[in-house]
Amino acid sequence: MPTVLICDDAIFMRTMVGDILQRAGFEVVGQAGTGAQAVEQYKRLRPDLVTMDIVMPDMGGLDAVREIMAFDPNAKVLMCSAMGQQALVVEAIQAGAKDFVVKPFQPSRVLEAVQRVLG
Amino acid sequence: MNATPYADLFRSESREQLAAVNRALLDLEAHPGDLAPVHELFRAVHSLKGMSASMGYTGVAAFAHEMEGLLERVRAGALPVRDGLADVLFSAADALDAGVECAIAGSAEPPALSEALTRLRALAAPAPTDDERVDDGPGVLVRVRQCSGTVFPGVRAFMVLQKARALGLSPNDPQSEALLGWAQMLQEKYDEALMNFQKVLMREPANALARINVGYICLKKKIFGEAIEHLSKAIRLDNDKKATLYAHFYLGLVYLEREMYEDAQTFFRKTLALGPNLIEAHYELGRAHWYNGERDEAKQAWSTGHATNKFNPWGKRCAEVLQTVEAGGEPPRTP
Repeated sequence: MPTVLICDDAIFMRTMVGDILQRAGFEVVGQAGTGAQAVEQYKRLRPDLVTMDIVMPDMGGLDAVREIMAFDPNAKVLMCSAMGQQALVVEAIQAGAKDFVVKPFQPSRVLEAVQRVLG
Repeated sequence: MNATPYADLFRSESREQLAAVNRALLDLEAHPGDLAPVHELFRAVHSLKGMSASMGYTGVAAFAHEMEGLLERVRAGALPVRDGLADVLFSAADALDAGVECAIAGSAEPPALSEALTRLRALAAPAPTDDERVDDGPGVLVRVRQCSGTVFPGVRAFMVLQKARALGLSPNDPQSEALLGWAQMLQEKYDEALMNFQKVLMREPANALARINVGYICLKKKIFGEAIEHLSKAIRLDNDKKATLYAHFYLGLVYLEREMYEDAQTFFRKTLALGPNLIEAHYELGRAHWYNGERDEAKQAWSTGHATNKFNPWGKRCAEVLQTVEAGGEPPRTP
């Protein structure tokens, strides 16, 4: 069963994404509410997939992606963005994120993106 | 997705985020020169936007989006923390609170929401307009645009090759390779086209036209991340007006495909500011409005497209889609 780490400052969003992925057969091995937690948990859990919100307290999603990619260049990170964040999405992809999905989440879109990321 | 099971979670967490908004506002009032409270405000409003949109509370999400836009400008230093800002933000926070409560209760949007919106918009100075126009420059650019439904695309591609030969371009010349790539793109031989454009980019990394074509191929192959990367780079290079124009247009198409309708609209508007005669951008702007539920704006975009050039194939398509929607139909999902 593939494992996933879900990073978002809103428990609400983490729950929603977690439900979508669990129904698709993923095991949610960790949840992070800040970028710093995301990096720490990635290093400890080494999940197959990370979903990463961009705007988070402490350390944002962009910096977290950079740190995760520096630690593991093969990390598979899927950005979760909201409308109006195109510049940040571009930066995230340049930093090593593999794809992005847009809130509000549609399960089919999320799963399509996950499939692309996991190749 | 069905948001009902998440209603309780939304209720409790939205209240936490609203409390964070109020704390940050009090902090901002006490320390007007400090940007940390603005960042925290932005984060909390942003979270509320995503959560509200996920619950289908579109009025609240749209209001939070506007508030976030204003805060983004403050964060970027484009809008000073001046007298009146805190007042407007306090009234916006109250309106957001009222909007969330009404959305949870399933009642109509409170009037405070539209009143606060007016104050938010009045405070934000209008964005500068870019009236730069594209002029024809020197060079051997052969412009061949394949419209959807064009007959014999292969023949047209062949004509491009003939044109390249007529220009006497040498086989390994980057311009020749770019033309060949273009011809292959028109024939939808995307892998071969990609190879030729990549050859060009190896020799000339700053060749923005080759880069936008790579971006377009990535769009067609649904590799959206790479498409955005190439198209954004072409915009940053900004060394070729036509490439910049089409980079904006193709980015609009990427965001339209990804259902990020407001971002798509932004790029189509910018496209039209750069190249008012690219009627296709009016057509796509209309689709971006329509799928975002902004039907009047969609019709306006198609009307403008048709009025700008009624003989252009895309001008005609604007008229056709207007007829379709007036008759109760839907615009096509694909261009």
